[in-house]
Amino acid sequence: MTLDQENIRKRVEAMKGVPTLPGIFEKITRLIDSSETAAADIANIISSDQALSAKVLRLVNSAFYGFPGRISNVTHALIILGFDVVKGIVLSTSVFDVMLAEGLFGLWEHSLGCAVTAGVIARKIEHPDPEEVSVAGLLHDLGKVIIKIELPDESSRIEETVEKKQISIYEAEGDILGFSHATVGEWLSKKWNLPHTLSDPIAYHHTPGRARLAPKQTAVVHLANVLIRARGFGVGGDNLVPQIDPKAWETLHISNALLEEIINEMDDKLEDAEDLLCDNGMGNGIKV
Amino acid sequence: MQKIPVNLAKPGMKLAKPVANDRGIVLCGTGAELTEEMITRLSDMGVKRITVEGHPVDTGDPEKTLSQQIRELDARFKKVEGDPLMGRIKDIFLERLKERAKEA
Repeated sequence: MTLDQENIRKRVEAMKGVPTLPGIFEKITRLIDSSETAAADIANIISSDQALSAKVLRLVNSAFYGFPGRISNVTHALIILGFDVVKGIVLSTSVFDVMLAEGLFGLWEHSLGCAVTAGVIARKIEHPDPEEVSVAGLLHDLGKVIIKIELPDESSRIEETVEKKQISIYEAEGDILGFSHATVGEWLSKKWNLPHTLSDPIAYHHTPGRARLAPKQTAVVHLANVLIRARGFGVGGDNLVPQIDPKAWETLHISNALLEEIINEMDDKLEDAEDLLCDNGMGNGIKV
Repeated sequence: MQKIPVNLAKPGMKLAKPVANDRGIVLCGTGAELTEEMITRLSDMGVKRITVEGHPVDTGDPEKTLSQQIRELDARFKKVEGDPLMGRIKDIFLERLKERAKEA
């Protein structure tokens, strides 16, 4: 039995984004879309929310982006990382707030871990924009949060199905809902006008062959999701390492030696990332 | 090395990783030997955890044994057994687990 997909789609789209998604996100989106916007305009908006700017700076200075100590204000972050990355980070902080509020610590860890790993892979294959790929990793499971909040009954049934049938959450979502968190993520990325470099990985990280606009970024996030599950870091909703898509693997041109380098580096970096988890995940909140 | 909460730090411990504040500015470099004063300052500056040399603190957190970790790794890979690429990935993680166990 599947639910009326159109109906659910409408429900999800009618949500004002993620429940606590700040109006700031919409303001930033509008500004970014306007060609006359300067970094300082966006920085002003982010800086007007102290808690948000602290979170943004904390995230950009963490192990994820690989240049700790260099970014001391939001304008600087915008110039170094670019508008879309900072927009993604603002969105991520909201999504993370919801994950923590909903008690989804495991998913939060999984998302952070995927971001770290995607960043490592992107740098190793010399992708021109590793920060953005990393943000795509942060956001890739956005749809799971929405399903959990909007469809609580189905969400419990999905969890039961994962347990009972020993299948992946992606498969269980298909069984119960007729669509997956990747599809829900796709609806939201469209609604929020996310750049395709973020929306493709969100929509196709399980089916990278379908990514038309950002196949490389999608392949990286697909691989990052496999590796972070292989590492057993965080909880992606099931305990199973998915198969790497052979075509996506081919597009990445990763040799055996490079694969080993990637895994070693992600493993080292995850230890650093645990700092962020420790400070935030234990319920201490983020210090401003 | 071990990552410990600052309130368990003791003078004489040596930093195995630099300590940075919230904004990523390095406060103390690798190899620095902690003094009472430094520990107080780090704590005042909001630093929560530091990484020190050796394994000086018994955190009471029972670490998983190597064989437990290997069993969990096997379980995670059960659906992709026999695939050569997935097998390579599993082997690399297995090596990492064994190395970690040796270091500890």
